[in-house]
Amino acid sequence: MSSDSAVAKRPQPQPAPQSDVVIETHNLTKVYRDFWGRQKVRALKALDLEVRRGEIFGLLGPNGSGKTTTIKLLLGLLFPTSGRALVFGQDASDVSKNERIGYLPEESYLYKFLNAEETLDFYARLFNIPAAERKERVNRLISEVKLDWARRRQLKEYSKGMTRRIGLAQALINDPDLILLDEPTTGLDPMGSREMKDTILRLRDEGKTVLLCSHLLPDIQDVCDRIAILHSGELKELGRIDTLLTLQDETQFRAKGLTKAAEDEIRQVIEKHGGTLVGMDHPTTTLEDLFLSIVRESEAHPGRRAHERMEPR
Amino acid sequence: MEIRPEEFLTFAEWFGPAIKYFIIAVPVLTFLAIFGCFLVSAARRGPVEGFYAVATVIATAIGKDLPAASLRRTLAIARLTVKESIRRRVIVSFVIFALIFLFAGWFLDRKSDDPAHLYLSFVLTTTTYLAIVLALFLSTASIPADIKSRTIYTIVTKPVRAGELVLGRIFGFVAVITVLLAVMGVISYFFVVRGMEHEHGVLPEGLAALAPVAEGDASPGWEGTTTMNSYHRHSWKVDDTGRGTTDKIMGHQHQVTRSQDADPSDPVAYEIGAPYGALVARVPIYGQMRFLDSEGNPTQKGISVGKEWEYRSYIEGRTLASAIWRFQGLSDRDYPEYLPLGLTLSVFRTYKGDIVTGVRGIIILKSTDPRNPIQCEPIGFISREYELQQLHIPRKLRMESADGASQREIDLFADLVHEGELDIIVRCDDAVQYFGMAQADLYIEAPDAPFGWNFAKGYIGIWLQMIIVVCLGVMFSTFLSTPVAILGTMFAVLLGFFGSFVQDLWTGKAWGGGPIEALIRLVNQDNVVTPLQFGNFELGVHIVKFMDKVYLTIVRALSGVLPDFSGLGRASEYVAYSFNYYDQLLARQCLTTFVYVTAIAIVGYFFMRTREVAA
Repeated sequence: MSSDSAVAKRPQPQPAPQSDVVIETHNLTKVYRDFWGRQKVRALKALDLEVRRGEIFGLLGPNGSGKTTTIKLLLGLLFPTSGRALVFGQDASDVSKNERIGYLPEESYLYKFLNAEETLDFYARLFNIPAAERKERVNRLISEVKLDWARRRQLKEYSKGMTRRIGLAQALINDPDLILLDEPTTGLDPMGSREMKDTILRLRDEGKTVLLCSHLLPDIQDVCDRIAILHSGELKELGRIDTLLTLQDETQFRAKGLTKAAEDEIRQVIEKHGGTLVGMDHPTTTLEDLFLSIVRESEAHPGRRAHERMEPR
Repeated sequence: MEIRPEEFLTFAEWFGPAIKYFIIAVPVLTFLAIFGCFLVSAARRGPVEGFYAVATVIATAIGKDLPAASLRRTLAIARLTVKESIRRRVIVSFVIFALIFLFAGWFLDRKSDDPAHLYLSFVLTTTTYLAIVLALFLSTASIPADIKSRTIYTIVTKPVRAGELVLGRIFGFVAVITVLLAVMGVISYFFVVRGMEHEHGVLPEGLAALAPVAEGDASPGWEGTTTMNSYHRHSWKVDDTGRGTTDKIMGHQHQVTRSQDADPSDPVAYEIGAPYGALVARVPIYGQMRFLDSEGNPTQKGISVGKEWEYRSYIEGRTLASAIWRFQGLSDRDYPEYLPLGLTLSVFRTYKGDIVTGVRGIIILKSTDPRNPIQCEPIGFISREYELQQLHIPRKLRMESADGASQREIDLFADLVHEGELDIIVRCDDAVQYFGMAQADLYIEAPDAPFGWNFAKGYIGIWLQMIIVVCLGVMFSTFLSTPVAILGTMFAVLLGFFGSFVQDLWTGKAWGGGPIEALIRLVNQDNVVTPLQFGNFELGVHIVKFMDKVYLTIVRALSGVLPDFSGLGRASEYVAYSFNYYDQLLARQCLTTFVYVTAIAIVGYFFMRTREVAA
């Protein structure tokens, strides 16, 4: 997906051509109830989202903000209290959509008594993959996640990072079009985290859609094309990450390799609006600052959607 | 062993009524289930949305999930289940089983009159209980563990349908149990066969030539006794060629042979062979039974002598009261020499008489040909109680001629058996003594069936029970946690075992009342037959009885739906009592089990499908 075009088109979510929208939710609401049907938590309130083909979409929010609930609703692991979740235009409860989905849960919940090879073989058997290709794919994925040396060890002997990697391999076994990653980098060392992010970017480049959720802001900032910020079940912010982080009312100049005389000259040039401008842009905030301001705003005014800038041009 | 009349039915005879019951039960139960689901759903979401939700689930089940069902995915889950079971050390149960058998020999009573029965019932019971415990714990653990560890997230987000998950688990556990039972079966078989093995030598003191029949003849053979081995000894006879058998002790016999040209008076010349006849599968052929009362008129039943067990009914001695069995399908090819009868009468004495000698009875064989209803001379016998009595009716019988003055010889098959049918009449021949009889108490002994196959049938019976336990366990574990699922499965199994008792309690045939009444009786130490009373508080009695009735009605309805476990366990009983289990009955039970597996899997599918696995 080329960088700027998508945002420029749409200030408000409009029905895009069906094939372009991979995930859409309408008024998606989830209320957790206890055994007697009494309301416990409103985990998600009337979420409207669209994720388009070929983008990396980040769900961002503090713990308990409804990120994982959203992913579980999209996968059909939970049933919505009201509203709808559509994946590839099918209802989330429709199992056949899973043919094209890969999912890496928050922690890699795998069978500890299987080894890496058996794990991938088992998951591959759940898809309609011919035996020869299955074998080939299992081998390829094991080497892609760099677990060749541990392929015959039972998963109970694996370290956290190794488990995470085999979890990723498991999510990719069916060569999915949509990959949902729940906290993909938690528990990984910086190296592993970098590898995970590279994989995510590579998947995007292969034309796949990635939805990830995280509370680790640098990861989101590094890889996501668009993000949604959730706080206590409400959508607070939605848009392209580069535009969200741009401060529109400030301008910044940067230049380098200038002599004293040249600097004077540039001052003149600027004053006269002439010469060559090396760098001129709006300074960006960090995602961390944006995030914290949104969360504080949200806590001060619950229920209100955060900023004016949310769908910037 | 009590033999139930419904067990004689052939597959074809059973299938008609069974399919009728099935055709009625399935729509009724389906409707009740859907209605129940609607009520639950309506209570949570309101009637309209509730109806819509139930309709959607059913529509997806039939329209989407059923056509998409895949054997490949089901087998993948079954494979996983097998691996999981192996790696969770199911093998331990083999060790327990082997240990039990290693030391069981010390505790089994080798002096028993019927060691084969003892050994067989021991191995079959041990296997049943061990397998039940294993099936229960294996099957109820898997799905809740997957949900608890959230491994299930990675499964249900693949294109796995809920039905495949349930069925895959069932298949996997059934495979594990099958292998387990097969190995246990082989171990048990050798344990039993080896338990029967023993050797005897010939005791020199008892060895003697038989007395000649007529003076001057040569001795017709030799007789002797064996040494005491395995707590018993035999006496034996051989003919003049040196071949013979021992008598039957503890259910078995030995061949006795004398080596060629040896001195007959030399005990070393005789060889006592390996025991045989202990492990058999007797094939009884049962007839249709009816009674005549003391005036010779047909009657529904004999006399009740006041015994609580109403299995047998009684006929009075020295009257026309008779029990008549009609046998079918007899042919002289099957019984060239004699007609072997098995008899397990019970005797009710109104006076003690000579307690050592049994009560006398007579057997009359009568043709069923309406134009020529001839019958043979009564054949007398002396009843032996509490054991199987074997009578050989010879082919050549005598018949009184019409005038009663002379007798002529008739052939059993040529003259009496008419189109394969024969009536056998039993009367008691001692005045004011009674014979008690049920349909299974007189039978024709067909040639024995192979013991090995019968033993296998006993294990197949256990296998069918385990399949149902596994299905119930998996089904309950789709919506309950492991401990609750174990309780639920145990409750279902117990109800399956005691279904007929619950039925009797409900109809009032069994005494003591329902659970509340029974508890009150226990605390008050009341006899079960005294009427329930709380002083003058009449209403209390009604309330208790009403609550009990409601509870029993529910439980009875449940037990009507649950599989008949005691019926499936009958194969073990037949084997332990050395009776051949009916192939047709086994086929019926296989079919019934298959239907139950399907039904339970469908229920499991709906529970799994409507469950929020991440909740």
